Amino acid sequence: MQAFRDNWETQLRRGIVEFAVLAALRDTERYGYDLVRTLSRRPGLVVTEGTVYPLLNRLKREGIITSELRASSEGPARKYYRLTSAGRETLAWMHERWSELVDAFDQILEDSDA
Amino acid sequence: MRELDPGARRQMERYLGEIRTSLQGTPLDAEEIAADVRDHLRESLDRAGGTHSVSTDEMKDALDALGPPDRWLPPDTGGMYQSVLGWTHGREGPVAALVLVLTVAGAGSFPWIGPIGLLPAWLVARAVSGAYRRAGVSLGSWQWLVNPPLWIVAVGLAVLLAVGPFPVLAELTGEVFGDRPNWIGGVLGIGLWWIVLGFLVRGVPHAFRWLLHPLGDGLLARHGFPLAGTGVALSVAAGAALWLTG
Repeated sequence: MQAFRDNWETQLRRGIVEFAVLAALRDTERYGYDLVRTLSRRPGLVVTEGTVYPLLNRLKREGIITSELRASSEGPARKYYRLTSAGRETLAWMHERWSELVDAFDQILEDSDA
Repeated sequence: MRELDPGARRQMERYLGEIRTSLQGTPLDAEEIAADVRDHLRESLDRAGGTHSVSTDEMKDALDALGPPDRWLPPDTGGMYQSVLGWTHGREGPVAALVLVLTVAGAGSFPWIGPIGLLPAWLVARAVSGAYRRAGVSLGSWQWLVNPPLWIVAVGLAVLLAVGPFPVLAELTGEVFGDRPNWIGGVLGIGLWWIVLGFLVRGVPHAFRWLLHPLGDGLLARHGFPLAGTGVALSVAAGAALWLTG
């Protein structure tokens, strides 16, 4: 039973972390360390810091985010990530799907309680 | 970036090497990811503060927070495991039956060709187990048919690695130390071998985890230290015994 639950949780979090990365970049661009720390500080996401970097690389390959190296007053240059226009559309689409999913489950649970 | 102790620098470079190795065969840019992680470590260690050079303990804490690269499980990254998963998902029953048949055939052929007969079963089981694990998908009850050859080979390899060289070493050291009991020389040889093994585990723990899966799944680089330390103790004890019986 525990293996079933662990597997379900793994599958659930895999999809959500991508959504979380795009949501974290919605209003501002962020450099890698800042983005990783923002996500890893959310207990519900249970993000291992290292897993974010392959994900960022994949999102760049898909054209959903882009990066730019910029000089920093605090030390060496930093790579800043931001959403592309395709990324903004994808985020909006994910948000719609998420809202639909939450509504659907709310209805199922309401029907079960009735 | 703060200066790194030589040990901390070696830890970091080894970790970055594990990143490149674990991302081989995927469409991801392993060099870029390794560079990103290097920048992350720099930022993390600089923010930790202090003007002293980064110690191995500090570096270990930073690397522990990042997690083992071979467990990052990049989603939908393609590669061999993704291909295996694509072919086997939904066909777990026939695949498990194939592994069972290969395992029985391998066991039946043991008197003639030894453990080599288990190789086909192990290869199929290893590919399936690795693919499902990377994808975070459970094999469910089919694992009871898929896992046996993995355990048989893992336990056998572990025993072979640990004490396999003993008879040969006992024979060799017996020739060197003449009339003293061969087994003392064998223990000395095993002790020296465990020192080497400890450094190998320290250097390439992912290779041992891969080879000894699922038995060695929890093996970490730091486990090399107690292994090498035990080797030192055995070598010293055997050396003392050889001297006393000399």
